Amino acid sequence: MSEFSQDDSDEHFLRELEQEKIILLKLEKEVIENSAKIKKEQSIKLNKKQSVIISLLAAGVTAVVNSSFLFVTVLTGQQYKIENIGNIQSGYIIQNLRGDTIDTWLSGRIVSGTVLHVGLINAEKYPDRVSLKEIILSDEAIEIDDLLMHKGPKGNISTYFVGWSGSLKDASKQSTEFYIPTNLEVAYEK
Amino acid sequence: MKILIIDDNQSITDMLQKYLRIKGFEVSTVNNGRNGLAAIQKQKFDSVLLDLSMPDFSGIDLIETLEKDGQLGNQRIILFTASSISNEIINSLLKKEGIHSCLRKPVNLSEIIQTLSLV
Repeated sequence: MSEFSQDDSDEHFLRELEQEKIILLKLEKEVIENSAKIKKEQSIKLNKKQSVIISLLAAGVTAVVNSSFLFVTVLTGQQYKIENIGNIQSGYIIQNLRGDTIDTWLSGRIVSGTVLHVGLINAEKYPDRVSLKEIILSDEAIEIDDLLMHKGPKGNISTYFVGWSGSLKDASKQSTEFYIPTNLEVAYEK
Repeated sequence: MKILIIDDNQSITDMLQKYLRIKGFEVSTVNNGRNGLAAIQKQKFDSVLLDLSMPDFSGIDLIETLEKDGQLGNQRIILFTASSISNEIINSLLKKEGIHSCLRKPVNLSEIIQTLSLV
């Protein structure tokens, strides 16, 4: 068997060399492809990481912006508040025809010309004979002697409005700092 | 899949080892027939890529030793040679139990992988 172990012919050498070349080229190609694949995977991982960071930053910015809006809203609401109105704590009063008042605080900004939407909650609880929509949308005005309302002597007449709409329209005739809505829409809500 | 490469050409064993590892094989290498015999006797390989033409102790010497010891049948050997060994000798080796196939250098790596997969 020594004839094979000592085979050192040129042909044998060339075949060995050719085999080395084939393996080297293939290995080189494989390493390059593998390297590109690893770089791509690293790039994807990096992109994911960056996305997470960007999302966190976006969430942070959103939180800051929302807080700012809330702060601005509170500040804006303050400008509607009427100061120095005696014992009443808030800047808003709801008053019925008999003079009873409800101390309340509600702010909002209604852009000039826009519709004021009124949502009626649990409207079904009220008697059928009362038209809630009419109370809000009516423009009808009635005149009542002050004596009847215990407001003053007989002969002094005050104008009262059946609905919000009429009173708001009447109020809007005067020059006011803020816009008084006159266009109302009512919807029943549950 | 555990593979043993026995070849006196260290460039080939090193590069082939790297390539086959990339392809998912578990590869060991030795660069002479005696170390190859020792490795085979020490542990079981799924496949042995054996160079026939090595100085001192050739691949054919290794096969004869395993055959004499009754260990050849336990092996799955792929002959791997650049020498001009005649087809008659190759065919006689292929008839032995444990000798799976023969690859003549130079051979494409896809053929090596295909042969290893078939063993």
